[in-house]
Amino acid sequence: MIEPSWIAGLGAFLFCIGLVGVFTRKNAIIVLMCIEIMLNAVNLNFVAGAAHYENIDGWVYTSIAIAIAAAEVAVGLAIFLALYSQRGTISLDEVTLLKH
Amino acid sequence: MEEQNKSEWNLILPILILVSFLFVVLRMNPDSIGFDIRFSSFLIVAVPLVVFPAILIIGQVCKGKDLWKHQLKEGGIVALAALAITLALTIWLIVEFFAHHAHFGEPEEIFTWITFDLLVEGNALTESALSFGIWIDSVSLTVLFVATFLCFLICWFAIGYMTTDSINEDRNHRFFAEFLLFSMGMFGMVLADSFLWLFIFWEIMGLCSYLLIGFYWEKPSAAAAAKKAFLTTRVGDVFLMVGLFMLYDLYHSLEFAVIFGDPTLGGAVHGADLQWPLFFMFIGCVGKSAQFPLNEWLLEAMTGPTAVSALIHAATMVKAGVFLVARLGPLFFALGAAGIMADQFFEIIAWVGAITALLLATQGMVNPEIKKVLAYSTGSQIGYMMMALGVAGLSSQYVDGYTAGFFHLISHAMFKASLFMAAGSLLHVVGSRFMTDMGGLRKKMRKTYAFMWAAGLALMGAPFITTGFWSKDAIFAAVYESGSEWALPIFIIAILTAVITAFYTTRMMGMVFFGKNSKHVEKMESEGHHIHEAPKSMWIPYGILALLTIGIGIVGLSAEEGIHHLFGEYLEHSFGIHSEHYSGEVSVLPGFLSGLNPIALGSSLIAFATGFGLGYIFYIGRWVDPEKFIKSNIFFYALHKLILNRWYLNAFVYWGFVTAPLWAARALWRYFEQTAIDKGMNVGLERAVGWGAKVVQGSQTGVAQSYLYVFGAGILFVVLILLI
Repeated sequence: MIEPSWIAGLGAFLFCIGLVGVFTRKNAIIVLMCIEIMLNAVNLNFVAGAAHYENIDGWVYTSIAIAIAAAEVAVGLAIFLALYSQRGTISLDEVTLLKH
Repeated sequence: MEEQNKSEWNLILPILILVSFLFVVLRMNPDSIGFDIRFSSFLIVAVPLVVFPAILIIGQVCKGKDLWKHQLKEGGIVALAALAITLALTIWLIVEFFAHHAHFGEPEEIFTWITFDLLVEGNALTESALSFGIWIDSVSLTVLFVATFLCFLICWFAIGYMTTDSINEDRNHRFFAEFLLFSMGMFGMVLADSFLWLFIFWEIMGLCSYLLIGFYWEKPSAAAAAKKAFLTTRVGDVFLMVGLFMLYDLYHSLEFAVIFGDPTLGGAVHGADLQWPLFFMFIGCVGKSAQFPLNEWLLEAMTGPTAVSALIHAATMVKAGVFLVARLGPLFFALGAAGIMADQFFEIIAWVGAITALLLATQGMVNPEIKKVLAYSTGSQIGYMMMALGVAGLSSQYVDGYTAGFFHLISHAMFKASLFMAAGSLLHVVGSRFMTDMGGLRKKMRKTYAFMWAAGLALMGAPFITTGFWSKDAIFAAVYESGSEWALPIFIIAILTAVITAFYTTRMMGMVFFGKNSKHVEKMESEGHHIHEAPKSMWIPYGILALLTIGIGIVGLSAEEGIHHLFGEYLEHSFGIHSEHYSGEVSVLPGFLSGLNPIALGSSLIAFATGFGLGYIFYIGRWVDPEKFIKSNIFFYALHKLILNRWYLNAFVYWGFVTAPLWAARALWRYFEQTAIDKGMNVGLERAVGWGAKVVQGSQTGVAQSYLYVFGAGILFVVLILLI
C-alpha cells in the first residue's frame, strides 16, 4: 500500500503545475488544460482519501467533479471557438473585452 | 326686490331671538342644574363647530337656489341662529354663575384626547393624558359674554352688509362659515381648561383671520394683507409655543387646574422659573393683540369686509391677547409678589401698552380712511388695556388695574363694534372708504349719525354718560395710584393718548358728517344715486350697541364696582391675592363721585375737552383749514409727514424683513452660488473626479490573468492574516 502522504504530495505537485500554467500561459486552450490538471489533482486526493478511510464520500465527490469538469470543457471550448471565429485569436493577452 | 327681502328678514329675526330665549328659559328649569353646566358650556363650542361645515357644504351645493339665497341669506341666517344659541347659553351660564357660585371653579372634563406615559425624574413612568374640558370663572365668563354678544350682533349686521353686495354673490356661504369658525375659536379659547387647548383655538383664530382678511382674494392687496396678518401673528405664536413648552417642562402639565391650583408645585417652582415662559407667552399676546412692535398687521387687515374688521377688532382676535395676559398676570403676581422679576415683567407689559397706545393714536390723527382711523384706534385702546394689566402688577392693589383693563375691554368691545359697523354702512352707502369722499352726511343718515356720536363719545371718553369715560378713568386712576417709579411717565402718555383719541374721533365725525358734501357725494347724487340711511338690518345692531354704551355709561360707576367686586373675589379665591376694600377715606369729590381719584378724573376731563375742542376747531366748526395749518409751519409739516408715514415703522419693518432678506439672497446668489457652487463645486469637483477616474482606469487592463494575479494576491493576504 502506498503511503497517503505520497499521493497527497503528488496531488499538490500537480495542482502547482496547473496553477503556474493558469497564471503564465497565454493560450486559452492550455489555460483550460491547466485548470483540468488542478481539478484532477484535487480528485486524486479525494480518491486516495476515500480508499484510505474506506468512505464512499470521496468517490461521490470525484464523480460529480468529473461531470462538472466535462461540462466546463464543453462550454469553454465552445467559447474559444466563437472567440476565434470573431477575433481570429485565442491569445488571452489580446482578448481585453473586460476593459471596455 | 330689496324691499321684499327686507320684510322677510324682519319676520325671521324676532322668531329667531324668541326661540333662543325660550331655549334659555326652558333650560333654567331648576331640576336640570348640575349636569347641564358642563354640557351647555360644551355646546357653546360645539354648535358653531358643527354648523360651520354644514353651511360650507350646503352652500356649495345649493349655490344660487332661491331658498338658500333669499330666505337663508346664503347661510347667514343659519350662522345667526347658531350664534343666537351660543349667546343664549352664555346668558344662562352667567345667571347660573351668580345663582350657584359653588358649582364653578372646577374644571369640567369633557373627553380625553390622548393618553400617554410620561417619563419623570427617577425614570418612572406616570400615566398622563391630554383632555379637553371647560374652565369657567369670572374672567372667562366676562370675555365669553362679550364675544358671544358681539359675534351675534356682528353676524346680524354682516347679513345685511354682505348679502346686498353683488360682488359677494354666491360666495357668502364661505364668509359665514369662516365667521362661525372664527367665533368658535374665540369661544373655545375662552372656555378651554388648559393652555394646550387655548393654543389650539388661538391658532384656529389665526387661520380664520387669514381666510377672512383675504376674503376678496382676487385683490392683490387683500391677499398681501392676509399673508401679512398671518405671518406677523405667527411670529408671536412661535414664541407663545416656546413659552408653553417651557411651562410644560416646569409643571409636566398645561392644565389650568394643575398650574393655578398650586402654582409653586409644592415649592418646586419659583417666580424666577416662570419669568421666561411668561415673557415668551407675552410676546404671543403682543402679536395677537397687534401691540408694538408687531402692530403693523392690524392696519392692512382693513382690506377684509367691514364685518370682519368689527369681528377682529371688537369681539375676537385682538381681545385674545388681552385675555391671555389677564390669565397669566395673576399667576405671576401671586408667585413673584414683591419680587424684582415680577416688576420687570409687569413693567414690560405696561410700557408695551403705553407705547402702542400713543404710537397708534397719533397715526389715527392723519389717516384719510375711516376704517384705518378705527383700526389705529383699536390698537391704541388695546394698548390701554395692556397698560392697565401691566400697572396692576406694579401696584399693591392688583385688582384695581385688573378691573380697569377688563372694564375697558368690555366697553371698548361695544363702542368699537358699533363704530366699525357704522363705518361699514357708511362705506356701503357712499361706496368709498375715504372720509374725504363723504362729508355733510348728517342730514342724510340721521340714525347712523346719532349712533356714531354715541359710540364715538364713548371712544373719546365723554364724561359721565359713556362707558368709555368710566373705563378710561379707571385706567388713569390705576396708573396714577400704582406707586411705581414709572407711574408718572405712563400716566402722562395715557393722558396724551386720551387727548389724541378725542381729537381723531372728532375729526372722523367732522369729516364724515359735517361740512359740505364732497365732490364724490355730489357726483353720486347727480348720477341718480340717492344717498339714504342704511337698511334696518344694518343699523339695528350698531344702534343696540350705541344705546348700550350710553346705557351702561349712565350706571358706569356701579358697573365698575360690580366688576371690581367680581374680580376681587376671583383673584382672592383662585390666587390668594388680597385686595383692600375701599377705605373710608374722605374724598374731595362730592356724592356719587367719591371713590374716584380726583387727579385722574380731572386729567381725563381736561383731556376730553382739549381733544374735542381741537377737533371742533378744525373739523366741525371748520374755523381753521387743517391743510393750511399743517403747511404753515415746517415743524408741523415734518410731524405730519412722519405720522402719515406711520412713523416709518412699516417702512422699517418692510426694509428689515422683505427688502434686506431679498438683497441678501441676491448677494448670496451672486457671490456664493455663482462662484463657490457653480464654479467651485460643479466645475472643480467634476474635473477632480474625472482626473481621479483616469488614474484608476489605468489599472484596468482587461486581461483576465492580471485580475487573477490580484485575486491570488488577495487570497495570499487573507491566508497570511489567518496564519498570523
